[in-house]
Amino acid sequence: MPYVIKLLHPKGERLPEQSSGCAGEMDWAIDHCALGLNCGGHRRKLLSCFGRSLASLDGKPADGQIMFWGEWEPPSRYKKMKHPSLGKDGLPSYIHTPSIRYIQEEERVLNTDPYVLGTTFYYSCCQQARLLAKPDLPENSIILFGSRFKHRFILDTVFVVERAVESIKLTATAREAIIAVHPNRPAGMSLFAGKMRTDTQTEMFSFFLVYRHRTPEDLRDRLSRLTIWIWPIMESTGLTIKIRGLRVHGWKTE
Amino acid sequence: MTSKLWHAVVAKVFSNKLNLGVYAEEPALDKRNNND
Repeated sequence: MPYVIKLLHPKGERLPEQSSGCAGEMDWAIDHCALGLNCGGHRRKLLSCFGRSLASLDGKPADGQIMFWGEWEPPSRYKKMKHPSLGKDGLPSYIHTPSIRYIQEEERVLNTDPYVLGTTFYYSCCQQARLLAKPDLPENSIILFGSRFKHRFILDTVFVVERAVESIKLTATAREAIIAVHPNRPAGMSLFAGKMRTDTQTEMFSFFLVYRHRTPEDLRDRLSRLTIWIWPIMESTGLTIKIRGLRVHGWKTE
Repeated sequence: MTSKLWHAVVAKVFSNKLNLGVYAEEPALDKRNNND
């Protein structure tokens, strides 16, 4: 039986450590826990890059610049957003273009989970030890990734499980962001590939919430729409849900 | 069973005038980016 699981990026927007003007480079996020310091936790970034999106399920995919909330702990180039209402009420202060570099041997940095760049999404680590009795998730299990803001769940990614895969299939970039950050990756953790949209797979695929680039005037309005309250959706489906653990926000469909 | 939830979330996304992102270009990792 497939699972429905809700997982949170525990912190809010990732900001530059020091104010360095309106633009700059942000390096890998440091894994403070691994260094024996207070854990900083994963944060989200508003990401901008070339991508593909759908305006309807039966429509043709559109290619172009897209913008979306996501977890990207490797480096990025950021710009401060200039709209006066941004940076408040859970709205972003910065927009990031993802970049990447090799991790140095002595570095302890954070992984990225879920990984949604490239042709396949991956779920590799987050809460697996506590969430899963065994490192397995049935096909078509759904993981809702997002953040919390003022008791609301800000959905950013819907991950539909396809199967567990070997890490050898990863691109060099994905390997660095997912695997190389864990020099002592715990045994028993699975790497799950997301079910992706194809010409024949037009339903039950993984996606993140996105809009095409617009003018600054409607920026705040459109960013506000990235907030989706998930509970009414869960209730509207009529699913009976079973709480697997208060701390992990996991449910099993019945 | 989970398809019902998936379709409900998709409907909510579209009703909020958002799109479904199905691909984002990942940055390339090569020797020129290495700090070694």
